[in-house]
Amino acid sequence: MTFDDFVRGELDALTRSAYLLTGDRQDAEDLVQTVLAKLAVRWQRIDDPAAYARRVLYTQSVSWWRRRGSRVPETLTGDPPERPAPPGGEPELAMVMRHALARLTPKQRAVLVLRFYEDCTEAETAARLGVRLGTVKSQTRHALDRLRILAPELTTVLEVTT
Amino acid sequence: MTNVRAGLRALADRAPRGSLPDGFYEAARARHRGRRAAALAAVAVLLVVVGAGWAVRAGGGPSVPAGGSGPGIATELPVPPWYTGSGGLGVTAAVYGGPATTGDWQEGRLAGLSADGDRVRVLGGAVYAAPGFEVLLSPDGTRIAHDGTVSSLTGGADIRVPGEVRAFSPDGTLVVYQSGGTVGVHDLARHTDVARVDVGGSWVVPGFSAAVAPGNDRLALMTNQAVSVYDLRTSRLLYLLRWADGVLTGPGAWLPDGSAFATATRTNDVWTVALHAGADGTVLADRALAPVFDARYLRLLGWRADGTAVAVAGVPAPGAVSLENSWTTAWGPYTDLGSSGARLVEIRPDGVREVLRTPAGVRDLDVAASLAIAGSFLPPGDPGFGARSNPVVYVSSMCVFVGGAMLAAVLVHRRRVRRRDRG
Repeated sequence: MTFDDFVRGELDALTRSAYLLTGDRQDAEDLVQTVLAKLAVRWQRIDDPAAYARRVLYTQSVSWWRRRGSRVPETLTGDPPERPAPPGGEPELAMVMRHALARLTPKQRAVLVLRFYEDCTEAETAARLGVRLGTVKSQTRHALDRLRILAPELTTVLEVTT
Repeated sequence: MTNVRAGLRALADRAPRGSLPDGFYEAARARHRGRRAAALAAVAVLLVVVGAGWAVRAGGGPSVPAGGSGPGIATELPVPPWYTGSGGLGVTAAVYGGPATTGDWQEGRLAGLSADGDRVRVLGGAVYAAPGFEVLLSPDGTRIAHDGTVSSLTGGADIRVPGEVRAFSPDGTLVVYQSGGTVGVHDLARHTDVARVDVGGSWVVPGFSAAVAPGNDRLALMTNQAVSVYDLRTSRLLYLLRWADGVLTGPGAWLPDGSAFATATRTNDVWTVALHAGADGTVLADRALAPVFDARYLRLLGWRADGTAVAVAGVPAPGAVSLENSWTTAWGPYTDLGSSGARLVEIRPDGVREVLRTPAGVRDLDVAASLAIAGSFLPPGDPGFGARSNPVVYVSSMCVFVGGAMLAAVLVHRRRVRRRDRG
């Protein structure tokens, strides 16, 4: 498989994950390009490029956040950001989730995306993030608790959806 | 948790389509190669700077006094590194130099050893000048004379002399200088000449051929094959000694009471000192000293009360031809004489004792006569060369700093351009 073949097969998936991790289109593209640049440099030495790319994607998203400090991505919406979005419907759900993710720490966000978007097991999540299994469990619990406490609009949505 | 999954998937569906610029793979690898080359270059520069700094570093630790309580001359002369700290020498026991302290281009490096410890400093200059010949240390070790300047080693002002200095008086207050056909005696405190005599076209050999008598009342000068003794109060010639095989023995030729002065004759590398009455120059046959063997030259620094003479003697170079001195021309301790080193000796009637010998590569030596005459010698200690004063390190650091600043500016500019293009 060539690098171009890999990009054709994985680029959209990587971009979607990156978008969930960053919450911003531009940052998602930057993150994916950073990951692919690292992959290109090591392409001939890597056995499983997909696993490598995803591991770098998640670790890089955390380190990006650390490097950029407490930067909060700006969100352009038609509504004032303080007002909760009206419940119901896919676009509203996506908007609420985006706001909710923005309120989590990068590690919590990465754990949530891996566990509930990529459908990784706890062990796979731990391996991909390079952390212990207990860390994944605690981060997942904290992330969900935080979603319920700090984002009541998401809780409402969850209840409605459930 | 299906609601979380649904929310994540709904959000992921709103992600943009992934896209990569054309030639991304090659560009990424090229950028990586460039960064790696820059990193390697930076490491190479760092290694060169550190390596050069290490190679020309000022060796040795802090100065440690050599064990004596007062000032003295350490009996081992450390060869300084290429660069040492500057200043802080103070009263100086010895100045010395030779191939070990100079480069292939005869840069003017000679070493100074302090009298109150083992501090060693490199004394700079454009062209190497031989200590004991072109560079003269005052008897008390506080001044150094080179060309027409007498410089203070203890923080005082430099003194300009009307000509090139040939000798200090035993008390260090006067210097003998030559300017053309005139030899003058200059008072360093009053900045005025006390005497001037005409020597025609003769050259007075620095460090060897002029001796001021204690009391500063007479001057013995050797020119060609004769010693002339002048009265410094009147600049009048008192008498003239002509002979074929002897020389005046340097700035310490006069006995401390001024009653006699010494000359020396040479047979091969054996020097025999003879005393002449100060009043008329007649040889005093009953005041003989032991001959000095293996000496290419002999330069008396002074006398002790017990009649012991202290002198610097040239060490013959291995295999060098034993040259016979021709007194029709001036001479000095140049390599022409075939000396590879120098030693400080005490000459008594019953023998000669070597006090110190210069290390390998140190050919020329002058010491503070008053310390040598007083017998103030110190055992060798741990030489200190002062804080590093290494222009190679400074220049290299500056180049790296400037280069780094330029590189950073380029990188910042390129990043701005990329952001602008992207925006």
